[in-house]
Amino acid sequence: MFAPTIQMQHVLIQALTEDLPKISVALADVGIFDPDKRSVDADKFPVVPGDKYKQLFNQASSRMEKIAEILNLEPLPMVKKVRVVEESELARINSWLGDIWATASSYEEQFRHLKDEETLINQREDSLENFANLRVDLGLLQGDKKFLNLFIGTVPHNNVAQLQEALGLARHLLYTFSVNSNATGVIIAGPRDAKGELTSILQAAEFRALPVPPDLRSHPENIRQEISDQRAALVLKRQKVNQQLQNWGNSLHKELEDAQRSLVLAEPYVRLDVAMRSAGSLSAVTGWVPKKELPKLETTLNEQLTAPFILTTRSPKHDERTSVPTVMQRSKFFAAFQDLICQYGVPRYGEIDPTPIFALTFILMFGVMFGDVGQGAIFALLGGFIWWKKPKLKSIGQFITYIGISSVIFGFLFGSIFCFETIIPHLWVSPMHSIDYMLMAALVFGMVFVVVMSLISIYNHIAMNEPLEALFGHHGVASLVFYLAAAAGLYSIATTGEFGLIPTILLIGSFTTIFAYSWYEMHDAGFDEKFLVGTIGGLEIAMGYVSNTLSFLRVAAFSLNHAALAGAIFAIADATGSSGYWPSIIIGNIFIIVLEGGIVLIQTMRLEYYEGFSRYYFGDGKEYVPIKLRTATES
Amino acid sequence: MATFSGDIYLHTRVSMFAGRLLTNDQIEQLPKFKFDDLAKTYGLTAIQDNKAPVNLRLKALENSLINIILDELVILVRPMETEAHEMIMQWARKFELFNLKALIRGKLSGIPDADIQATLHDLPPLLGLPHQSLLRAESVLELLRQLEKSQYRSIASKARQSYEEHQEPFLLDAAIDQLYCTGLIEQAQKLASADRKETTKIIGWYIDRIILLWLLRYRFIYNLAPSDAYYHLVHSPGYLHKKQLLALVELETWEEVISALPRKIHQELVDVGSIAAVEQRINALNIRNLHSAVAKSSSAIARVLAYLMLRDLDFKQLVTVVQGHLLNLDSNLVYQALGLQIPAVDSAATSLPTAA
Repeated sequence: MFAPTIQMQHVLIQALTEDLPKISVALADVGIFDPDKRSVDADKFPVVPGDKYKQLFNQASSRMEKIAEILNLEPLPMVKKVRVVEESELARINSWLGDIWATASSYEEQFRHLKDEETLINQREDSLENFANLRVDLGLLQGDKKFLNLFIGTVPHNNVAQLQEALGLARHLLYTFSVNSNATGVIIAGPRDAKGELTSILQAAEFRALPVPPDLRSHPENIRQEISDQRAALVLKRQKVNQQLQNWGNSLHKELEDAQRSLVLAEPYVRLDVAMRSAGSLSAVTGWVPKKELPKLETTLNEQLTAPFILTTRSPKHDERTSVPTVMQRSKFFAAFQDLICQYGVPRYGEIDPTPIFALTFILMFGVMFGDVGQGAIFALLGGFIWWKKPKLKSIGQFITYIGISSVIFGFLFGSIFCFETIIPHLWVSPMHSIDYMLMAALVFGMVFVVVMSLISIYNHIAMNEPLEALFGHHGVASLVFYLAAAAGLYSIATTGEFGLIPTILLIGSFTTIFAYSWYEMHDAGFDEKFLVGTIGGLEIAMGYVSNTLSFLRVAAFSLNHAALAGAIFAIADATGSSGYWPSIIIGNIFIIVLEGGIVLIQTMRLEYYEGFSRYYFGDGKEYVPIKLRTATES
Repeated sequence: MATFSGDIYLHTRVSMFAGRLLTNDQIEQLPKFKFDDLAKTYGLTAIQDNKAPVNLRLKALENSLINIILDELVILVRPMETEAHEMIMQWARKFELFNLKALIRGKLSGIPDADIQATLHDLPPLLGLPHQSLLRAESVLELLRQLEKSQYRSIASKARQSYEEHQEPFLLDAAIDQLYCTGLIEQAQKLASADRKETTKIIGWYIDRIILLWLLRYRFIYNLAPSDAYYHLVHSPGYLHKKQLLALVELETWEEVISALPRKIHQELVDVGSIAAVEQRINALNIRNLHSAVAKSSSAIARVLAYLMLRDLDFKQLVTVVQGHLLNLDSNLVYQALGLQIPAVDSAATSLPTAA
């Protein structure tokens, strides 16, 4: 269950350069090869082939993405037959997609213009009311004036102030009236001799003219009708363009699907990138494959390549562990917990799989902090429903069900159901009546947690061939001895009044070891610096262990908090009298489920990430991303 | 600045970093250095690749220097509060906007993508302009539509005007600069009062420089009318505030404008007759002011901003010198470009601080 991640093998495929496209397709078809992009053997194979191919592919893919968006294309079609896409075919597809995109782009531009028209109509409609309310004779604003420049229109809000000041320099006045949230209505007036100068400022200020209808005051219904007609015409125009676009898209459906298939087949060659190198007619492809899948890889290559090739494999070296991709065995039961682990970081290759320990302690701590039969059952039922009814959210459903069940179990152990602490008897302890006991239990749990995490850390460092770090590092053997000796000494003080000889010897011995290691590590530094860093380093380890352990007091604190919140709800319910009693209990329970449930989740996560992962988990591994065909094959 | 310790950290950091800035003497020594010595001192491996074309070597140099600035910026903004962090990032957006201008101008002029790409700064993800997706746009209209969906909506509408109405390209640059300067002023206003005054002063010097150059160009090169010129300017929080600008744009001659400038600026520009000379003099004034801010300002944020601006200016000088070497320019020309007196006799160079 705690086994490290799946064993990987480094693979080197040597073949003829002309066979590289075939190899890429075969590798994608088998779907287990993760390219090694460290450019190994670059001296022997200096050239990275396929520059032109990659350029064509990238441009064609970008075009296809844009076309798919505007035409609302279905998800990628299935590939009928696995085959190599030659550069000439890719060039033809790219060029064709270029033409298609040019037309699609013109449709986009038409939609943009239609949107512009709509904005104008809206502004006209908005300004209608405001025109009517203006205390000026609108007749005076209509038509061309002999000595006066007159402009009526809209300007974006942000441009009004600067425009007003600039117009002042051109001896023009600007009056504003409200139009809508995007633009301000403006009336600009001034002497006619400055018109040329004004045109350029108005353009820069994004001024849009609003025509003043001649019969605005006398027959406003005519104008409303006119605007309504314009809007209806616009809707028709949009429908027409939409229809044209749809028809055009339908007529291209088959060709576009074929192009998508070709791009899916061309992608593996591009994804190999620098993992594929050549020297004349010989080439090499390097990558990582799970050890147990090697026969499958060999069989596929033998089946799909006619020319000879050499397949060489080897185990990962110690110094390349961070470059080896990690394959985590997908857990059937703890999938959601694995997702949470990967949020923190992918495990380093060879590192212990943290999933079981993470999942079990998470479920346990949540249950202790949120122990309530009724509220836990709601979580469990909700989780079960999601698990059953929403296959896509299965892992989330599992997660909620588990923490719900844990909450139910601890609800029985604490004797709590929907905040009632007296209906069912507690099978273990009633938190509010045994506060000291709860705090002590949390402390002991914290100590066990910290010790287990330190042991895993020691194992991980040994597995990574870092023996010094395993022995003397921050979470190594010496630190663990230091921690246990301090704990034993403190326990001894509490029971006998003395720290004890053995804990004292172990404490001093381990501290000296840590100090000496720090001294050794800083061989270039001066005496003062070595002494200071060694002392502070030792103290940091001591403080770290103490604070990590004390952090677990929050497990008890939240358990007490749950009971205290329940008490508060009952106090409110009692104060509201008989009519408000049950509504208060129900609302209070909802409040606790949503708010406290969320807080407890965050706290549990914090304990796992900060007190657990930071102690033992490297989390700097490389995710295993094998090259695959992006769609299934029909065969 | 939120915390006392953060403030102390920043003051210490800036004081440490300040040792990397070029002094006047060192700038004067720059043209005297041999190309290889210059490259060695600054670790400028990018320019030592003799096989690469000159423009690519210069671009690589610019990119590596910008990345030095941005690396230092990341260290300096780490302890900052959100507002101060945002203000410094807004300053750094100048590199992003350079790319935006190059992209729009390049696409509007139909320059091939590869050539546009070659002019762009290679910026880290820290600055978020989606260059690649904008570069992939296959027509001007597609580029404009993409911009309309981005944070640069207002620039997109100016660019559309420029494209559809065949406007002068400088108006687009002006709009971008206006947006940048306004953003910088707005961010400075959000700072805590202890930092606001000092920081705004520095931003004022910076914007004064930009708008003075624009003002002179608008009025005496593009011959814009006063109202038109005024519309494209920004009110500086420094000397060139709204009232000052309203008065300056109405003046008809170069001499009138120079004499009407605030005293501090005017005394630097008494005898200048060209925009290039104005730029050099105002840069020199700016550098003096910024050095004084780095040395004396009580606000850590202001010191950070001043330091970064100086670093940028230093690197520009360095690029000028390297450009002189790569293009085999006459050394007098390089002295002129640096705003230095041409020496009577060449003397040997002393020493330079390293880049990082």
